Amino acid sequence: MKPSFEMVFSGVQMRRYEPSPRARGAAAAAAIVGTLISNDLHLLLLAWLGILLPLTIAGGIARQHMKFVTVFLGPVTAALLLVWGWMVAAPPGMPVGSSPEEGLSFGCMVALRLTVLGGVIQLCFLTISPEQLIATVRCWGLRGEGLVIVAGTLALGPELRLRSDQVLTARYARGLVPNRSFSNRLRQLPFLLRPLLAWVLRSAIQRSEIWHQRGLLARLQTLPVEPCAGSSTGSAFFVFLAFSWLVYNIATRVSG
Amino acid sequence: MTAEKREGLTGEWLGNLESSRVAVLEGNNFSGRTELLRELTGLVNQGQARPQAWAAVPRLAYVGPELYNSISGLAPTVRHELQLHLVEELKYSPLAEVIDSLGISPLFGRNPFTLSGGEQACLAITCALSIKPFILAIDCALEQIAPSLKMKLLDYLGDDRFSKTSTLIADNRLREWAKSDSRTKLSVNNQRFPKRRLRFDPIDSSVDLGIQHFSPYCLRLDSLSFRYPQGPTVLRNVAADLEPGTLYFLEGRNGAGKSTLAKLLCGALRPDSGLILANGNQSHPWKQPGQVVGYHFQNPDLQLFSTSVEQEVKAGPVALGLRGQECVARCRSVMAAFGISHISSEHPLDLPFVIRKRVALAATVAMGRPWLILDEPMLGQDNASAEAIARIITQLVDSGTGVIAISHSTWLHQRFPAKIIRLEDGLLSQ
Repeated sequence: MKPSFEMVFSGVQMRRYEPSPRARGAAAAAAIVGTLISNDLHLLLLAWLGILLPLTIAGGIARQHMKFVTVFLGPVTAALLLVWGWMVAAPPGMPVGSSPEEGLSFGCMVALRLTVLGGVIQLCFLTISPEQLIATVRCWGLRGEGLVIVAGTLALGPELRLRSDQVLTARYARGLVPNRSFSNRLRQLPFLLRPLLAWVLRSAIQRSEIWHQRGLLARLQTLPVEPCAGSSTGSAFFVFLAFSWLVYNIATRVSG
Repeated sequence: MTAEKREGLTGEWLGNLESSRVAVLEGNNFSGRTELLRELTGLVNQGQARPQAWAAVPRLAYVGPELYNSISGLAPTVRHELQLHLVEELKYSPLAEVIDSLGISPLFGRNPFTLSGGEQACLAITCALSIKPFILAIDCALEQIAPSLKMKLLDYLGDDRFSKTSTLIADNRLREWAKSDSRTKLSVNNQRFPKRRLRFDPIDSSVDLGIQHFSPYCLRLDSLSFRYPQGPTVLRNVAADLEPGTLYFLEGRNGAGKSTLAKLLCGALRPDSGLILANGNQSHPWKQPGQVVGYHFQNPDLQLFSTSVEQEVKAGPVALGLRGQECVARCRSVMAAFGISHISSEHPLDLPFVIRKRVALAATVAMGRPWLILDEPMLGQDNASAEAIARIITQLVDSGTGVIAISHSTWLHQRFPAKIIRLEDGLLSQ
């Protein structure tokens, strides 16, 4: 059935169990603090494998999360283990070479904290549906230039991906890439950067003209967005989970 | 026209605009239409200061040929883009009907940048109308919209419900779809604007391109299907026999999948199922892209990579193995034909849109592939240039090249013999 104008424009299409922007922000803050003060290696591992991974799968961002883990955290973890387990061979505050096991354990702890932190941040931002994006950011109290920057950046991400894809497509279409081998694709990177940079500069100038001409920046501040709605079940679930994590870690710290 | 608008407009323009709410600017490329439209909507032209008179005019809108830059880039969905522009509640606005009839409603949940060229044009113009501008300038954007929608849009622009908006249109193909158009015509000459740094030569279709295909290259599409990940099916069991040395004219509404079909043929995309046969043998354009079919994009900026026009034109032939004198001669003749020889050392992205389009077209033609797909080859070109480009296309067809032209302009196939193929609901009919 063709969606009618009124049907689509009158209501926001939300994902099931999408938490409200306030609950999302509060849960993310609690989870981040809880992770930063956590010093239980096994618990961090359990939180990542048992809670974050299933949530990233349910939120449809498992692929992005695994990419983050393998591309970014993999080399960082290797470097941390190398430095604390072998080169310094001791955790911070202890003499160099005094305890390679504890150094290794410290390296693992930092790597796991980064993994959980990354997962929490990805879960917090990447699962916001495009329909809820501006409402969420405004609900978090962002106004003025900050709102413009965040809205522009969040809208720019998909556009940048799209443009890179289009430029690569154009190179294929003009026969400038003989075949699709990995090395050939890798060689396209420098050629990708020039048109992208030129596009960014040209777009920045032309768009800022349009913003100024149509008074869009002022409109963004007063945009009649939908209220900070969300699923109450989803909100309660995420807030409960994050605050339990925070309270448990505070309790563990206090009890020593 | 309101009093505050009068302060901004001067001389002949004021008198002409008062008589009609929709006025058409007539003129050739480089006659100063773009500069005039930009000036009238308060934008800065090269070498000019910001027009102070416009400070008092609250709402002006310009939609240029680079449509993606007429989209704000601040909104994650089409719905937000419209909301960002609307100055009154939509259910009380005449715009609701425009949005529905231009087919924008089903696109509400999509990112504006993922729309096709025609869809982006409809969205950009609708958004510009949403701010209830006193002056709306549409510069070549209508050329990218399907004729039926163009007529609807033009009717809306002249509608009493938009009586506070004066619309100025620069459109090179206007006459072909509005033959008995009685709207005010304003002719433009470039005397009002400072001289350009560069001179732009006309296209010379009499130059021999030096491209000849002695062996015919038949293309057969057998049950070709394609859908974008997480998107609808674009092509369903498409089948066609395409003869070499023939000009085909691919028609279809905005977003019908014309560009997708072109990308499948040149190897930029891989079909989900089906075969592409070249001279009866199975061809795999996905594995060796651009070898049989060359593709000229609707948006020239996507396919310009080099630091000079000459390098840009040479890149394709060199990548496909052409060397020495043959390569130099072909590139020279192609550049001469498209009137870009004298700007061969210029950076392509420093040139105006019309010339960038020509450079991109020359770069595709210089590849010398047996088949060419030209997406909106006349975009932004005035009648004389479009005529010359059409003659170059017929020269290519005579040399054995198969050409598939994708265009909303009917001018090309009305004047030159072409076979029409139509893409509708994912199916191709010949």
